[in-house]
Amino acid sequence: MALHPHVPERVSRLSSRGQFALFLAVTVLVTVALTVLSYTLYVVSGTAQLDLSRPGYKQALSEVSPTDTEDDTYSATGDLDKKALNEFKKKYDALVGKTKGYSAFDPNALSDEQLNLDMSGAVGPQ
Amino acid sequence: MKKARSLFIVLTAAFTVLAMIGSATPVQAADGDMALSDTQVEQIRQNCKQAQSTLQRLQSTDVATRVNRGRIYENLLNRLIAPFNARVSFNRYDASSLTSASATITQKFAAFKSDYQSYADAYANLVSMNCEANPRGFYDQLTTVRAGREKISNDIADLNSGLDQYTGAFNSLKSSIGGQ
Repeated sequence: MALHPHVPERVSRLSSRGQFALFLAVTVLVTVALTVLSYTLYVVSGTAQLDLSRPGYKQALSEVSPTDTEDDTYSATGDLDKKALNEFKKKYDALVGKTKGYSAFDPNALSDEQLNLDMSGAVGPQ
Repeated sequence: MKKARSLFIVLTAAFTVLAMIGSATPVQAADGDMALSDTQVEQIRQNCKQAQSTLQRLQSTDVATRVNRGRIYENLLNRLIAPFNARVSFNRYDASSLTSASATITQKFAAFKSDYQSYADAYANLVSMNCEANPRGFYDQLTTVRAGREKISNDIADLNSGLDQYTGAFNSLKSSIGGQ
């Protein structure tokens, strides 16, 4: 006898223990699939590379500047008078100025000299 | 119903396997290997552990720099430039040059994020590989990482150029408004 009109008869014929085991198996399967999907999105989207909560990135966390969002906003409506233009320029220059204080990923940081790899006399690319 | 359930199970299993393979695929090392002498290979083998230690410290700094720069560019684009462009249009001034400059900045920022992602993947492989067992592979991967870093450096230069362009467009607008 079927439990419910929408439950397949095959499932209904299982004992309650069998039904519970099937339920657990499906639940675990769905959980594994969703976990793998989440992790894949975490890696593929680039979030993993910026995740400072990973082991070994405690120092990097201390180097990240605190967010200061109050001074970074600007209203999209209102008059465009001298005061509004000066307000924008001041905030814009302040943010652009902040970029000057950070590394620009100088390629020389990975040179043979910096890494103590003496490659003098290398033939060059084939 | 039975077929649908079977199909669902098969598709879920296939997707799971593909996802695991995809996330585990290593980044390819650069083609065109440097011709290294045996002496150089031995030198790399002796010093590569120390080099990897230096690289790990630099990796931590790079991530902080990426986060800091990324946050500034995001704030510039979303909190200042976009609302300012809207305000210019709202007041019926010509915002075309501002819009063009901000589109350039947006494009360059997207390139920066994409290039950093590739660079970080290659960098992660570089610091985790067994360099003593494979010094040639280590140096090849180092060459790849260097190229990636140079690309990011160029992206930042392009972003600065885009910001200068926007500044020029702003100054032109300010002059035109001031002259009215």
